[in-house]
Amino acid sequence: MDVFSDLANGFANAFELQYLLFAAVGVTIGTFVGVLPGIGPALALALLLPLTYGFDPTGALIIFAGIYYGSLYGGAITSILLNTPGEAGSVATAIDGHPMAKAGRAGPALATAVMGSFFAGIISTLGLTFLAPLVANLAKSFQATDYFALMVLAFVSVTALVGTSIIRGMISLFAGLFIGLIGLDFLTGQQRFTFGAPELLGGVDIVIVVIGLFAIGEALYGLARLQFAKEEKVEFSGRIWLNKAERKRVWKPWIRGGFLGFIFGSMPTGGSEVPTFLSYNLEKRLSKHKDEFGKGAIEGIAGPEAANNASFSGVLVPLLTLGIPTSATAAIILSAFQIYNIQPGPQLFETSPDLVWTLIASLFIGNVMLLVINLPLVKLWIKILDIPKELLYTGILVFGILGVYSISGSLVEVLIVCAIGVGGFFMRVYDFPVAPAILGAILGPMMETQLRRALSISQGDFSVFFTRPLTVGLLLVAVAILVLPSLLPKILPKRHDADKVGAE
Amino acid sequence: MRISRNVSRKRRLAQWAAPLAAGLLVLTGCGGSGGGGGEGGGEAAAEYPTEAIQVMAPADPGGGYDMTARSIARSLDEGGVIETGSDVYNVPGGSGTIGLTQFVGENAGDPHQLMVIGKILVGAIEQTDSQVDLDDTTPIARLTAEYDAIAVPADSKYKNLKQLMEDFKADPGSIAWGGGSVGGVDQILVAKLAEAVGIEPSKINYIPYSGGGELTPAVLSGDVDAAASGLAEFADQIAAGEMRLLAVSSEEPIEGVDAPTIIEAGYDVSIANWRGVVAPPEITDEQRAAAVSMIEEMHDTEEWQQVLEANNWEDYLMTGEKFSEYIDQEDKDITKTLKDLGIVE
Amino acid sequence: MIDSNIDSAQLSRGKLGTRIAAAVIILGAAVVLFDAFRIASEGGFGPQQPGFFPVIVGIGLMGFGIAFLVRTTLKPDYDLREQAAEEHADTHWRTLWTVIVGLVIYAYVLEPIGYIPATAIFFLAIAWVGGSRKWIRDIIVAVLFSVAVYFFFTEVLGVRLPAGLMEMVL
Repeated sequence: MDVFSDLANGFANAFELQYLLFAAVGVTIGTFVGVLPGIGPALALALLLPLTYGFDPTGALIIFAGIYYGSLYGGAITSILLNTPGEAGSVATAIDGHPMAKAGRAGPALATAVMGSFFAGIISTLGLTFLAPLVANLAKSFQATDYFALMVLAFVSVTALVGTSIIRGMISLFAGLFIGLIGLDFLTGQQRFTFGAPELLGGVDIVIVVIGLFAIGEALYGLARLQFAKEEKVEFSGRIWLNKAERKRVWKPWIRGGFLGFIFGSMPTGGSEVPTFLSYNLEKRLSKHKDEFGKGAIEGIAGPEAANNASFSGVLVPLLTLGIPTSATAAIILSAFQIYNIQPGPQLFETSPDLVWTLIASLFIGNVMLLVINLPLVKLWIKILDIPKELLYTGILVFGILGVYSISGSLVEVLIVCAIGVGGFFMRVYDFPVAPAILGAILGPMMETQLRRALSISQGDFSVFFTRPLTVGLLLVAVAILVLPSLLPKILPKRHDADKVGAE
Repeated sequence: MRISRNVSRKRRLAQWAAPLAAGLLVLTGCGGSGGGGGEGGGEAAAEYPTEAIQVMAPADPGGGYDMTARSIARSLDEGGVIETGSDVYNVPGGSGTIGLTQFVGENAGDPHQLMVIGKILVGAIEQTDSQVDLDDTTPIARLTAEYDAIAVPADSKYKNLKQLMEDFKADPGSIAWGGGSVGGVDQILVAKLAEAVGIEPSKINYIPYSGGGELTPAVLSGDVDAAASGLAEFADQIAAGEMRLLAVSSEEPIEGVDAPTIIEAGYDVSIANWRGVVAPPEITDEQRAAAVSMIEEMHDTEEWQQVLEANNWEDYLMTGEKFSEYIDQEDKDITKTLKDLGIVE
Repeated sequence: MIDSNIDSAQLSRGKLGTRIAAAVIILGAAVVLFDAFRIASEGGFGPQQPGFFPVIVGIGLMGFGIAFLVRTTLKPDYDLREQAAEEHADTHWRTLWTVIVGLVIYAYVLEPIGYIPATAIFFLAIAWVGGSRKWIRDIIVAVLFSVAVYFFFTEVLGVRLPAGLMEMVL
């Protein structure tokens, strides 16, 4: 088997002492940053992007994978202990995790999260190992029309993330699309929305959008509420392990969550929101302890946390094979690739096999590191929560500005990130979902470029979108996603336990 | 990205790898000892350089400007040309014009500042309406050139450039050309080819891609009919038999490349993607001469020759006033082509 | 999570807030639309041309912005209004505006006075605005933090940060 020898090669590389060290550094930094309130994986990576400047590509990506896993784990700690999920993917974890912690069972809750992440991480990384080369092979024949159809599919799935209010979700999406349009038009070189500022010619980096919406927005939000904030911290004590009864309850959710996470992560609109909530719903429906849900059901942590972790390897499938980032996290990783002049795409597995397989191997290693290094250290990580909040938020502001300054080196970008941060603050206050804005900024320019490329190639002939079977197939799936949810209820008998989650 | 990474920093990095294990110590204070990169002075005043040479790459790390800047810095240091050390830093944005504006604005009269420029920057200045242009700098030396390749997918019906050009001439729109960014070397090459067979450049069906990594899949999937890009970008696919190389854009045949030049194929077109260095405005003639001789000395080092070989860069040295005239010539030429293409007014 | 006893004054402030938000969105949409038409008039409206997407985005923003305005005025979304009221009640607005002004000043002085002094002062100021009154601790943290970040980034990662005033010292 080719895959096995490639993977073995990857492991051989990843087991070099320096890379092991990098993986350990990555998970440690990641956990540290992830524990800070409001900082999720995407933001952790955005803030730490400058770290890549000092390393070779493989080393940098290994650190990145470590940071990602670490920050997920850190996010689980804050979700469970503080009820402050740092990213949408951890929201489901907090629903049952926090009640468990309040009931004095924070240890088992954390252990479930970490071990579930571990098993799901292994499942999904295996999925990545086998699926990615296949997709890469298939993707070699993808033409501009197919890419465009994929983008349409992605945008249709974004509507699933829109949340409670369609109007606010769409405003968020269009705002993101607008940000994506700023700069020189890629196909003609015309300036768009640059308002005379040469710094805007290159567009607004997605890293700036992420730092603005998350770091600056979150810190402003936190600082503005400090006067009124009540500390709701749960003391931590007792075992950090699972007893037999608990183990029996969690292993199935782990596996189901792992598969859900990987499958939905690899879809055109990946990310962790959808799979974590699906997993939560699924476990609630299948559990023998339905009444415990919302009050501290261990399955309610096991499934979503597994799905959360697994979605990352899923997201890597379109990123590595098609060059399409389907989540904020993936977009930041793509930025890191581009710093090294590496363009992910169908050719990546041929042009940089060492890099890809070492990265995949290091995902396995990162998961193991997390389990052996970080789980026992949980009491140390909790200490970070003792940092006074006003210093913490100030620190996040400083790091946010630093991150932007080090990638751009210009005042204009720093001011832009502040503006986006203020926007992020008000989006929170008036309940605008953030995810559509970010995906709009990431995917909008890609969709536009592919559409216009396809039309240029065909010299303006629209029939190209209806003559290639692959393009037509993808467009049909997109239509189905758009139409089915409104049709299904009419066809199927009404279900009363309709998916109502997240409402607490 | 304002990043300075050169050899001496790399070495320093090695010492730091372990402390980095505690990278989060940023917060707890890992302090830093090693002072800056060699502010050493002490030589006689007439000597040059008296302080560290700063080389700006007006682009993100990883691209051609960045590699050129780093290679210059390394050859200066390791080749023993200078004792004062050198630093590389990146100022991306505006297709290089942000870097240029900053370079000219902040460093007037400072002969220790150098900036890497190239053919693409000449076009970018026109395209972005940059207020600052290369006339505002003091050209030092042209150093390298890379040549473009014209390639088609292996299963294409075009076996040679002539067949391609005949179809192109018959129906310009029917050939979808893939290449690099708008207004770059690749598009200029295609425009010159079009002019050579009497096609109006505005009729060309040119599809830009962000670079070889994006262009290669588009060639292989049959999205574009033909592509123009740096020879190095396609080298792997050509060697693997997935693409066919029709011609190269050099004036003379390139050793080890199994394809004719465009001139040999019957069209009087050649193009070189050159790169070089400039100094800030308002330096004295003596300072300029000193900088030129420093770069000439660097050019002769073993290290620089290795760089040329490793990157397949053509040795393309031209210095001082001659280089200034060359830039003027290029500026006129490129501006005309961009106007023909309708990219600038 | 949040106190549910919200009085009418707070409720009306929430209502006003959502309306201001709607107005800002519509204003932004107008700017986008205006520039989009300028782009399109130069580059063309067709789907192949650079003006196509900007116009769509402008129209989308404007359309949904007006829809949002309707939901805050003629056909109010009461859930949103209540949430906005709660958020307003929990927000200390003076802190918010002070921090924003602080950020802008920080951005402007970063290059002239240098990373270390600018960051140390910014850190101290924001911590104070945030309610910290432990001067000694904050000064120590601010100085250590900015010095550590400066050296870590410039020496280890090779990122250039402005030296500013420190240039004379270093």
